[in-house]
Amino acid sequence: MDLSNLVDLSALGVFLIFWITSFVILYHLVRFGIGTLPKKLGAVFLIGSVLLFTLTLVAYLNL
Amino acid sequence: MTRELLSIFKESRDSFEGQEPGENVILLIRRHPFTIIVPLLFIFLFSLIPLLAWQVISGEIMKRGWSDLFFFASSIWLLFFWILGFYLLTLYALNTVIVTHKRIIESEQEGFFRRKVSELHIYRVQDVSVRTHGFFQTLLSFGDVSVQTAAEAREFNFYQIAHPEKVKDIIMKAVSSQRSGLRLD
Repeated sequence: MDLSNLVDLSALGVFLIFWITSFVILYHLVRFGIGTLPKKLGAVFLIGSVLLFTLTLVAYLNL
Repeated sequence: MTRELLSIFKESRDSFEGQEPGENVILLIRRHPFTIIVPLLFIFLFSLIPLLAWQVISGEIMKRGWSDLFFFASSIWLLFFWILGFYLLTLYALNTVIVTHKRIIESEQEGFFRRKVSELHIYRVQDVSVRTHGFFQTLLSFGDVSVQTAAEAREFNFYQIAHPEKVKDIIMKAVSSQRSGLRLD
């Protein structure tokens, strides 16, 4: 396996773990959250995650 | 439609799973924000490491043509600390104590898949005590609240709660109202 394949696989793994963990965080905030704080945190987290992921994807595509 | 959708961020009722009909939430308590600000500050400082690294070794990175790889690695680093920060914030937001006119419910989220919910009927409360110790707790007005019940060896402890004296007063008021048959909303 050459280096580029290794980077591709690692990036795929990282992206997958990132979105699974993000889903679990959002699920917990929505499912168990009481009051307005968890909803606000969930909204900030979702927006920030999309932005950060876009940044990472752009960095990955520039490799 | 949009206004209704956005209203959940400011008007959401403090409803919870298992709430009985007509059961009103008197108080929703979380730990003092200071307890989460300190770890978040460390996470923020750690997330700045790529920026510092760039200041120190940017010349070498550019010379070797590794700048794209560096930016990619930095963004992965940021993703990790973003997740870690929100993991802690999620635990903070989900560790709650709810005081209703009927009972006290404590939800402890110790991890993503470890959750403990304990409840105590208001009429069983016998004594509430407050403990504040240390410089920051005194300065920022937070501490521990212990609720003793009529049952043997059962004590509820809520740690690092903001304004513990106020919490104690509200619990004792709820207990008196329950005993006198008055409803406290």
